[in-house]
Amino acid sequence: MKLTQDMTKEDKKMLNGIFWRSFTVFASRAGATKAHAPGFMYSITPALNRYYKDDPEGRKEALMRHTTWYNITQNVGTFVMGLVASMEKKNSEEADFDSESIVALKTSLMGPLSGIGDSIFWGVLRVIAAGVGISLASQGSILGPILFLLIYNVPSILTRYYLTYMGFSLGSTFIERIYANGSMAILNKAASTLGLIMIGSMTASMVKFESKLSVPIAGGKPILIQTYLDQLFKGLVPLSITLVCYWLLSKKVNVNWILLGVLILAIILGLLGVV
Amino acid sequence: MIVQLRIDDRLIHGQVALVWTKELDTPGIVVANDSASENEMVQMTLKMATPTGKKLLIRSVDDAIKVFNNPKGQGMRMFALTNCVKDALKIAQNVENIGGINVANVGRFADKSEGEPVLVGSTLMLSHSELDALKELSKLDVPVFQQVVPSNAKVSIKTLLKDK
Amino acid sequence: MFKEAFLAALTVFICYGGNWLFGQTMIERPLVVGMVAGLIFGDLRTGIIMGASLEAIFMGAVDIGGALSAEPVTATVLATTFAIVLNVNEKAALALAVPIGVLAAFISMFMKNVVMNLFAPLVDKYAEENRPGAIAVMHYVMWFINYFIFSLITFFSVLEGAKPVQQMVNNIPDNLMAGLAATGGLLPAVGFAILMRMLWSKQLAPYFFLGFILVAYLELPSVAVAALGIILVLVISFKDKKLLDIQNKQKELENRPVSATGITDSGNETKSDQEEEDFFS
Repeated sequence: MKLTQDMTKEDKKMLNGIFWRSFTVFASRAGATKAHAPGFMYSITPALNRYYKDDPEGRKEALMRHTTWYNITQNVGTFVMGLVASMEKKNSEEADFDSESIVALKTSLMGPLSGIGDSIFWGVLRVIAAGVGISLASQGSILGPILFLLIYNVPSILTRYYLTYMGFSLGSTFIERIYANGSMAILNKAASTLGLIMIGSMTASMVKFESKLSVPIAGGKPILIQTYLDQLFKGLVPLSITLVCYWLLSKKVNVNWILLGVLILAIILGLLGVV
Repeated sequence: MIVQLRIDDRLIHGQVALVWTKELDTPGIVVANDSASENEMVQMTLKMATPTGKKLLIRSVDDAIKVFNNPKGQGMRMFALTNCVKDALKIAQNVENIGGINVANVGRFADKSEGEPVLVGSTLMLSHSELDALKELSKLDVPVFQQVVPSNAKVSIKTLLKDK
Repeated sequence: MFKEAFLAALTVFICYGGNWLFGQTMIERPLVVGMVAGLIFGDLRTGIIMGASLEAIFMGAVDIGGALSAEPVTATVLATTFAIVLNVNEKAALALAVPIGVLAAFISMFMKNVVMNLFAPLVDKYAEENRPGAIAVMHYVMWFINYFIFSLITFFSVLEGAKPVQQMVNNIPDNLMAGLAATGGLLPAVGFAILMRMLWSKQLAPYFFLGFILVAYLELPSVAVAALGIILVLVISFKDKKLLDIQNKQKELENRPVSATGITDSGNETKSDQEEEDFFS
């Protein structure tokens, strides 16, 4: 994609400024009503300084506009920052530009972008990275945490960078296009599929259960119950417990109760000598 | 029938898209909002946020009331969304059979034209006219509560409105 | 204990504060925190192994829309500190991590939503005074205050709590210990269940079982599972794309006004009727 073809040096300098500042977007949180507004204002300052250089009143209004509640998955939030920069540019050039629309668009994009961003970055990429990381780290290898960080961050930071430019150059038309031709739905389905494969594989490798119980056999060695369980279906107990937790969650049971329940269940099994 | 009417100033966002529609098992989502029904851009973004396999309808508040009262929809589980208390009140007064009204997030984009907004809960900042609408709403015989995400407990609005 | 308490608090500050100062780069996840804590306390291997177990437990502690269920940094630092510095049995330290994480999440939410609310009026004030520089300074100051106060929890927990925890753990009978060990094995189930809620649909459910069998029976390493998964997803997506193109073509053909029958509908009224027809179907 030729994102930088029509960009001046000035544009690039500004967008790189937004990109670097965007890393700190969630560093502060000004309570429940403003959330990450300070971080957003800080991130788009290069654009405001540039377009309202000779118009202190304009910059003041722009700053006041952006004191509203802000929260978007960070790696895709830069798209909105780029978009806002391009709209502030229009606003500073055209007298009859409706400045209200800047905040309206920013607000309406928060939902969809976070929905997609959360499931791709949190639900899939992080799960794959953690799956690889855990399997190496559980043997004590330092490669575990290092690979985890690389697998998660390389795609995340690239996304963050390109979306800053995309937001500025493509704007809202681009979103409409990829949605209208259905690419978005395919991307979402692909992300969920991959995520579920990984979660299934990690259920098998991370959730552990081993029973110590044995059945005495007359005149022979006692047989461990675990052997029977494995013959039925490998990982039967971990799989069942995970599915029960899922079922409880879908029945609206609070997560912390489920955590407590699993804790107590394991301790009781221990006291009874089952594990 | 409306399983839940949610008031949320961001209409559809991560919380709703990921959690609530699965939680409530509602195949249909109706966004009742005058400005969204006219703005193509906003419609696009709302459609993007809709989970796969769910149907979305964006209507002005008056048209949404017609949709809710459409006999075809009596057996269909619907999740309704508005972005302010006044719109929700209008719907609640004109539609029978609402399972519950969830006043989740209001006022983070509050306009300060009516003076300083009143903080009702950590995610509810209401202007005076919105507060009056909420009081009206809590008088109806539909359960009105606040529950931002399903794992939160339901808090009755009546308790939040005490001495406000 | 003062030195250890200071180091543990420093680890929380670096990992938790650093994560949010620098783009949520996941240095707050137990995998990384365990490694850092192990490095600081001079037992890297134990730190990494603890981190791996805790990552599995806290996998589902996902912060979506500000709804946090457990805070992994404090939990990991305290569990690792107990294990390395106090020689507490690793399994017991893991079991302690969960209640600590839930409590810490609670304090963290309180800090961010209530305490930091004090700064909200300042945001408006600086905007009105047209001072982006002041906003930048405040942005960093708020960051520092929030995570500094939060690190104090760890500092005092280690300073005051180390001795009692050690005594308590030394007095645990064997079969209770076995139970505590089992919790570390079973707790990840909850985290995975939370993640499944995010992605699960009837149509896609078989893929979860596919992933399970690939590991339980074929014992594939997770890198291989991820690679297989990506290949599978690519194949499916190409198919989907084809289908979609066909559907889009069909729609185009259907939407052409058919002049032979003389019916040409193109009005907003009919468009919205059509939408409602689809909605109720």
